[in-house]
Amino acid sequence: MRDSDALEKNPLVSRSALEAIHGQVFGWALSRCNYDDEVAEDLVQQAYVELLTGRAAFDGRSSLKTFVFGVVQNLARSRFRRIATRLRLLQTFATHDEQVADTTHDVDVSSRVWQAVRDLPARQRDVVELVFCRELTVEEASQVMGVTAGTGRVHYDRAKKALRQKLESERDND
Amino acid sequence: MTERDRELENTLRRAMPRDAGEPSFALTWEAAERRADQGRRRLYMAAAAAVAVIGLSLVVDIAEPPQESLEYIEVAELLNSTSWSAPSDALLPTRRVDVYQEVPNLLESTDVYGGALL
Repeated sequence: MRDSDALEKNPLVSRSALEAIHGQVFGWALSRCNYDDEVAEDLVQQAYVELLTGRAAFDGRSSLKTFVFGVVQNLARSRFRRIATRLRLLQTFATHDEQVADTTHDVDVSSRVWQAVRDLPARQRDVVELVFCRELTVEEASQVMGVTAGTGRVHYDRAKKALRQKLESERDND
Repeated sequence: MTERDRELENTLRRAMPRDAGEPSFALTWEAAERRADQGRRRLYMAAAAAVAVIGLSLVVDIAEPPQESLEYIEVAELLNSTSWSAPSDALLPTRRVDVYQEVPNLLESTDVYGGALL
């Protein structure tokens, strides 16, 4: 069924459907770029460009939300891969050892609980955020992350275990 | 989802950093449409430039004077129209130039110059 405001190059995607998930997409984009509003907005815009131009073609095999999350994830990955390459080059040619700033501490995420999530390995962190905070199933989260459902489930189980241990040990320390 | 999972989920939800409020969808969408148009325009410009280059090369090719076409030359014709003579041909009697008819009488010199006979 084609909506009246369906995209020309992506007939299964409509503007209204995107508007309905816009907040969640932006939230996901934020978490992809260390909660930098400008970068997140740029990522979301770029994701919409991909949909408008048909470079990212939605075929209806997953939910639209899963698909758009996946587009944002891929865009963020390629963007930060480029940045990482540049950083590596800079480090290679730098004459003195400079400590690269640990940006994870720059952002005001005061909660120790959330800090525990941030300390998880990347895949585990992603699956936790997608399942617990963005309300996707583990299977959908796996699709967004570009891994099989089995692998996604392994990351999910390990993440839960690691988080529980961390939170319990912190509780004991208090 | 087990009870423990639900408990963890609630803990995480409470701790999750609040999204600072997403930018307006309409504005983001408009910006995306502009970017898509720019990309499309850039593509059209690149295509137009490519067409122009091809057109220009065709015009230059047409404007260039045609080169003489190669023709097949008969070998016999070529031989008739060319001649060659060796430099030593001048010594031949048939050329009626002065050539030695008999062995020249070479006089032995007795004059010395610089320790050697002249």
